[in-house]
Parts: sequence; C-alpha cells; structure tokens
Amino acid sequence: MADTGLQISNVDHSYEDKQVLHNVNFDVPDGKVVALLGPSGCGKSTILRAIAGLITPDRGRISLQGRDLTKVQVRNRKLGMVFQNFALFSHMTVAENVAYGLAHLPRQERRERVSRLLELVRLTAFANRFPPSLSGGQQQRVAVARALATDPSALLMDEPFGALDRALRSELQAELVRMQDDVGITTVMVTHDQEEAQAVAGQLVVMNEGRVEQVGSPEEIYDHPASLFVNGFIGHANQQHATVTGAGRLRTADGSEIAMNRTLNYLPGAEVIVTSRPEDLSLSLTEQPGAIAARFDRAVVMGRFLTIDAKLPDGTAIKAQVLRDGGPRPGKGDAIWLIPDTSRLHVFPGNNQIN
Amino acid sequence: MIRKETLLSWPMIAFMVLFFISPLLLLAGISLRGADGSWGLGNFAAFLSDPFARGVLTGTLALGAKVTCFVSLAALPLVMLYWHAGKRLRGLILICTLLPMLTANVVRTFAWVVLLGRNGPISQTLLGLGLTERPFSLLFSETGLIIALVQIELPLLLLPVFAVLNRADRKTLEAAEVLGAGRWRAWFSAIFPQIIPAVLAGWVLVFASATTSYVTQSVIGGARLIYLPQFVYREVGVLFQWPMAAAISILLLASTGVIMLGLTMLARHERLQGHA
Repeated sequence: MADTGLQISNVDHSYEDKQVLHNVNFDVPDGKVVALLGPSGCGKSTILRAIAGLITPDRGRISLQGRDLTKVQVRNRKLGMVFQNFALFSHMTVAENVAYGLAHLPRQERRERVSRLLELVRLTAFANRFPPSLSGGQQQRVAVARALATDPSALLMDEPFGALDRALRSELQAELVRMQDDVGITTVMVTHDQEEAQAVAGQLVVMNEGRVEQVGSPEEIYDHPASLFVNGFIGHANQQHATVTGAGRLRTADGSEIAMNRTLNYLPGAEVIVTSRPEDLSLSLTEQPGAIAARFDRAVVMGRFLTIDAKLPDGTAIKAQVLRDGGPRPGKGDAIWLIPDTSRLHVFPGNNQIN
Repeated sequence: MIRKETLLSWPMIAFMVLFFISPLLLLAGISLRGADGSWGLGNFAAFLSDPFARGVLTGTLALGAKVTCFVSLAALPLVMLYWHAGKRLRGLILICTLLPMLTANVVRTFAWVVLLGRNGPISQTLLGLGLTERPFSLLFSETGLIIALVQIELPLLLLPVFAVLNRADRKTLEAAEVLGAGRWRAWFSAIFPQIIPAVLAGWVLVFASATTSYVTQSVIGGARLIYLPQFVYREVGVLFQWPMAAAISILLLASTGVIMLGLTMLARHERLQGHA
C-alpha cells in the first residue's frame, strides 16, 4: 500500500439499522482534487465526515500519507474542512476566525500567517469585519482561509458552493482552482452538481446509494460510464430496452435493428438497455437503416444547437442535440428518425439480470 | 390619521395606556407630592438621604445580583447536560424545569420554609453527618433567601437557553473540533456565543423577578431582612405615606430598569449580531 495521498479502503457505515456506506474504496493522490459526486442521500457527505473523524465508520480504513486515521481523534487529524453553510464563528472577526486553529502559535507568527491567508483569499480589507456582514462569497473565502490556516495535510469541502447563487459559483470555482494550484493541497470535495465537480476536480468519484459506482477523470466517466446510473447522472442519457440478437447486433423494444461496430459481451437473447447521448444522435425526416423512429415533440434553440424532444412509439422521451443551421425543422407530431452514432452507444444489462 | 396597517394594534395600545401607562404616570405624579401638600422632589431627597433607606435600595439590587449569579452557576451544569442529552432526556429535563412553575410562588415559598427550617432536611442532614453540632435554621437569613430564590427563578434562565440550544448550529462546533480545539474551547467558542443573547434575556428576567418577589422576600427573609418591596408595603399599608411609597416605587423601577437596559444593550453588541 502506497504511503502517499488519502486512501479510503473498504469503508462501511450504518446509521441505526440503515447501511449508508457499502464497501467504499477510492484514493486521492497527493495534491490532487477529487470530487465525490452523487444525488442527495448517496452517502457522499457521510464519507467526508468519516474522513474528518466526525463519525467513526463501522468498518474499513482511512489513511493519510500512510498514517491510519481511523483511531485518531477529530482535533488531532490535522485536516481542513469547509462546511456547507461555512460554519463561521459569527462573534469573531474574519481575522479571528482564520486564527482559530493557530492558538498554539506565538502571537507574531500567528499574525503573519493570518495576513498571508487573507491575502491568498483576497480579504485583507475585511480582516476586522464580522462574518454576518459579509456576502456569501466572502464568507466562503473566509471558511477556506480558516481551513487552510492550520496547514492541513488535506482539505475537505462539503458542498462548498452550495449556499451561493449561481452567478457567483463559477467565479469562485475558478478562484478555488487558482488557489489549489498555489497551495497544491490534497482536496476532497462533496457536491451534487456535476458541472461543479468537473470544473474543480481532476478526478470524480460517482456514488449512488452508499456505493462507489465509478472512479475516473471527467472524460472517462462521460465517455465510458461504468453503469447505467453513471451514464444517466453525468450528462443526459436516452434509454431504450433492447434484446441482443447476435454478436454486436441489437433489436430495440420497438423493433428497430441496431448494428454496433463492436462485439458485445452478452449472450444472444439477453435483455439489455442501450443508451445514447443527445449529441450522438442526428436527425432525419426519412426512414434510415438503423435509425430510431420517433415522433417530434418540440425543439429548443440553444445557441448553435437545437435540442429536440421527441417520443418513441412506446411513449418514452428521447432527447437529441443537433446543429441548427440548414437542418430540417419538423412540426409537432411529425415522424422523425434519429440516427445514432453506434460507436458511442452504451449497452448495460437490462432489469433483473446479472452481467 | 389612523393608518389601516396599525388599526389592529389600537385596542392593545388603548389597553396599555388605560391600565399601565396612566397608572404609572399617576404614580409618578403622586411621588412628587410633598407631605405638606407642596410639589417637588422632596420624597426622593428624603429617601436617598436616609442611610437606612439607601441600604435597603443597595441591598435589594445586591440581592438581585447575587441571585442572578447563583442561578447562572446552578444553570451551567443543567445547560451542559441538556446540550449533551438525547431527545428523551431533554424532554425530561424540560418537564422538570417547567413543573415547579406550575405551582404558585406562595406555595413554593412555603415549601422552602419547611426545607430551610430547624427541623428541615438540610439542618437534619448536616446534623446527622456531624457537620454541625446543633440544628440550625436558614430561615430569616440572606443565605436561605438566596437558596430559595435561586430555585424559584432558575426556570426563567433555563427556558430561554434551552429554546436556543434546541436550534443551535452544531456545524460550528464540528468546525471548531476539526480546527483542533479541545472539548471546552470548542463548546465555548461555538455554542456559548449562540446562547449569550438568551442568557442576557434570562438574567433580565431573573434579576427583575428576584428584586421584586415580595412574598418570598418577606416570608423567608422575615422582618429583619427588609428589601424595597416590603419597604414600599410599609409606607403604603402601615404608615400611609403614599407619596413616599410612590417615590420608592419609581426608584425601584428606575434602578432595575437601568440594569435591564444595560443588559439589553449588551445583547445588541456587534459580536452577537449573528446570533440574535
């Protein structure tokens, strides 16, 4: 086992009778940012609290640079944490908040450290203000400065942008990336927002129902989702039930034949779900071999693109995104055909079936 | 013109003016009436120049301060227990706090007469343990009065603090712990500031209630320990010096009022703004 980075191995946890973490495993390399991504209640915050020591997991090991943290008390873990609503001490000034974790240092050193950190988060002018008088974005930066002040071995962030309005988020995400480049601290961030995760983190850990579904870079996860859940959670995925008819051949529930450009690891006759990204479908007003027949519902202009909502014969919604210029514009209820880029289709086991 | 939005408050304002503000003004007016029928501040001058009367005034304020202080000391462990308690224990503590308040002040005072007396459990226990040679009575002593008042006024401090603890932000406490603070430092920097406004409100209630609790003061303090309420009663009911009684009442109101105002101002301090 490597002696660097943060390692989460085989962590299980239950609240009362309900198991909220199932055998969670992932590593955070030294100096990298990893985002724990998943819908609310998927256990991502629980894992963060376990790393911080705010809860003790039932089983498993959490180690940082080779040191087992499981038995170390919260205050001795030397971690920095940014809470969702920042949890600032509102009776202390910004400078006092930042200095909170530095009580053990001599006064002079403490003062220098605080001013350096306020400079880092660009809040020097606000040193003597009280947190309630600051804007949400400024409070968030105070929280980051306070967490970084103790020179922690890792930074944990629980929905750090969750309490901010949308316009401010991307600005602060860029700010965080800049700061992370300066400081180079191992960071674990919890978020339910995939754009945020992709903007800040180099590696994503996608979680669902207490399990890690996939670990990888944003590209890997988007292009090669490991499960139907990941496929649908990161970006949009159109789903169709289908049956495998031969090596690399599928027949969808409504009867269209799809010839994949690769062989599939499924036995003929296996029930599968085939998914497509909206941008991997192209639009045609005439029947094409291998195209998905659908009824046009409506189209929304998104800059250069047209986002098409259509319905399959069985009523399932399907989305496509095509280039706007010169393309056909069907009317509501018209028959359309959507031609998939078969190299980018994903196939997952159908219901009630073990791969 | 009567504005539509304020219309609903007029009955309450009329009630307050009729039954609170005008009697108070009347009281202030009476206090300015001299014994010889002249008008002026003679009653106040007479009261404040009398060393005994001055002693009663400072004694009353000191009683309020002592009771407030001991109530705070008694409340601290209960507040700590309440904070760490689970849902069920919190309910139990709350019921135990509220229960005495369902009994009249007079009844609680007489219960303390029994407890503090020569044959009461306090005296008997200390005697049995050999800590004292003969039975003693805490009745008619300030110690006994303070013990009784602390028990009687304790809920006034506890209830507002419990209310705040119920919705206290635990995240700040966790933040303090992650930053390396020990248990006590974390509690005092994360939870204590949140309850300060409630503590100040509780102090105002306890102080006002302790300085004016005529029944407890006279029953347990007896005739030797005189506080302002009894002093006022003596002027009204025994000496029939109504203008003097009015002047003393105004002084009591003003002195407790100043202390309450000070505490309220303290609660508006910039450092407490986030917790208000």
